[in-house]
Amino acid sequence: MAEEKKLFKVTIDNISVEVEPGTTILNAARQIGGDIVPPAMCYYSKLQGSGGKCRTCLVKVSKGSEADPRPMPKLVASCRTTVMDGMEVANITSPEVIEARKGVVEFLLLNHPLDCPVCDQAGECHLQDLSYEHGVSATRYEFKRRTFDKIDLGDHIQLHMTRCILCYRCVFTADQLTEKREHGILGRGEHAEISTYIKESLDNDFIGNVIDVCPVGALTDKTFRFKNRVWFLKPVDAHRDCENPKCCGKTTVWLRGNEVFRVTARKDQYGEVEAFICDTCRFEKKEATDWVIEGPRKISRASVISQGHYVGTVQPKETIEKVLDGRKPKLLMDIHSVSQVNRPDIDLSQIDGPAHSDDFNKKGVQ
Amino acid sequence: MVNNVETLAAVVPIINIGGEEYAKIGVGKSTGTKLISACGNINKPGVYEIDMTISVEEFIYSDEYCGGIPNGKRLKACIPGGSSVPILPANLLLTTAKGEKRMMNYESLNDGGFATGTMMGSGGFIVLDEDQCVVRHTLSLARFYHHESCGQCSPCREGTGWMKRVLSNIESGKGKMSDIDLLWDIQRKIEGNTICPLGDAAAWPVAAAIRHFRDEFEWHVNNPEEAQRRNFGLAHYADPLPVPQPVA
Repeated sequence: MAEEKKLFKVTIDNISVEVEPGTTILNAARQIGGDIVPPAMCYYSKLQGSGGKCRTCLVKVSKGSEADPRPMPKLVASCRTTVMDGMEVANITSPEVIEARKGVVEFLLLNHPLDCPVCDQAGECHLQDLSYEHGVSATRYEFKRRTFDKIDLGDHIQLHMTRCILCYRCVFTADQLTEKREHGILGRGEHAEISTYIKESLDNDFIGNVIDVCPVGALTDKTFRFKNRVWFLKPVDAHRDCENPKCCGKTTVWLRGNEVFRVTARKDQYGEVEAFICDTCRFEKKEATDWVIEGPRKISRASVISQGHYVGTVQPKETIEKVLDGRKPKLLMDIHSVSQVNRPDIDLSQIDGPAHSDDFNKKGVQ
Repeated sequence: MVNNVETLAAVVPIINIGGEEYAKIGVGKSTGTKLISACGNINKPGVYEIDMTISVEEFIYSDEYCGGIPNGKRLKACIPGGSSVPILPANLLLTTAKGEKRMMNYESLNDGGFATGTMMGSGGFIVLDEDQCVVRHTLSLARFYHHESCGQCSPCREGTGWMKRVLSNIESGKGKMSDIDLLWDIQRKIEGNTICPLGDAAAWPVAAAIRHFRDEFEWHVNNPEEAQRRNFGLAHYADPLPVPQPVA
């Protein structure tokens, strides 16, 4: 570490970390990792200018800096607030933050259709994860929800605005990755919607990445729509020599058997892609022979995709006997008391071989 | 930098008489003059330049300024600083919670915080007489902020519309008693959590209306049909002071 570069010490939920000046609170928290990382629905580290919109990453700054120890009067968006030396931040240790986040989740879900059972994003949806972790179980909204018609953006992408939470990520992606920006936000306030200018199709080489950056199921892959649920697929890292010089060719291929169901970019533990991929890789290479398989992909987010994989979980050290302090585990319900078939006056161990219905009716006993 | 007309209008006298002289106008920290745009139930609506030494009572009732409330009605409530600042009932508007006379300046209007005070804000002075309905009034403010929301950040985009709809239910006689607590909870979750102060501005009028006029909201919920025909009236927050006689 160079001597002249002074690092800022920032304390998040009583854990200190030294980061470079100019780092945001969110990125400082990601350097610590674990539960104290605020959730982010709109911030995307690969996209310049993203963040600040969804307000899920609100944190409390209880001490501004070493030089000016006053706390900040309001909760601040951690994705857009840079750290100061000696700053003290409370995230999950502040009830105020938890309460505000609960409110934001409720606002985000207010006009969300909650059609997860038919949504392709289910299982890898950030909004799903967010509402499980921070939301409340029921909504208090009693009015008609905002709905839109589905729009086809070109051959491969479908836009379902009803599910959109207006994070603006796809707008930044289209603006920064593709050569001609053709879509953005139309309208204002509650009527704002993502759309192309006069509903043109999107056919840039990299426009498929809007599917990956979308935190909800608003932008979905038409080549994958309704083909499968993501948790039935096996994600593997794969690569191919892509002709497009801007594309890295390193992807995650989602397999079932030998069949390639879809191709996405590789996503890190915060659901952000490691490198963007081109549309040829994403939409047109759907044969297992197109790809060189590297190995299984770890989906490290606490998602349903990880179900059954249990990566990184620790087996509890305590055994049942130890927890029960030497007592034998006691069944909560005596099967004889509830079953019409099994009768308490019959000792099942006395019956030879597999039990037969004759063993249980009175005639058999007598 | 964006300047409004009020700022530019103050530049000329500051240059003419000098900054120090200009700062001698007014009282305490409220130096200089302030443009008050008065409207609502008053005899003489208009823009008045005041030197922030007069009382709120004098500003409403004196012939030099608003000229009192027309048709001999009594004062019910007032928003002294533009639509976003908290509304105050007449008794709290004319005297502070400490019992002092409330003056037309930044400190005095802010006295008591949001619990019993309000803000000078932009100086948009809105007077409500006894015929006005606070629920309907709050609904129009909520509708305005819903319309003005830009839709960037989620609390404001979704919350302003929600508040408007709940208020519109209460106003049209379809409200429930739990809606009042719901409104309070929504405004609490918008305030301070948005990118710009429009979220705060949308939350404060709703919060203040519930804080000071909760009985009127409850009356609306309990008497949905009657609330369509007549307004709640003055109740206990009526103007407690006799109307002062104009100085001859």
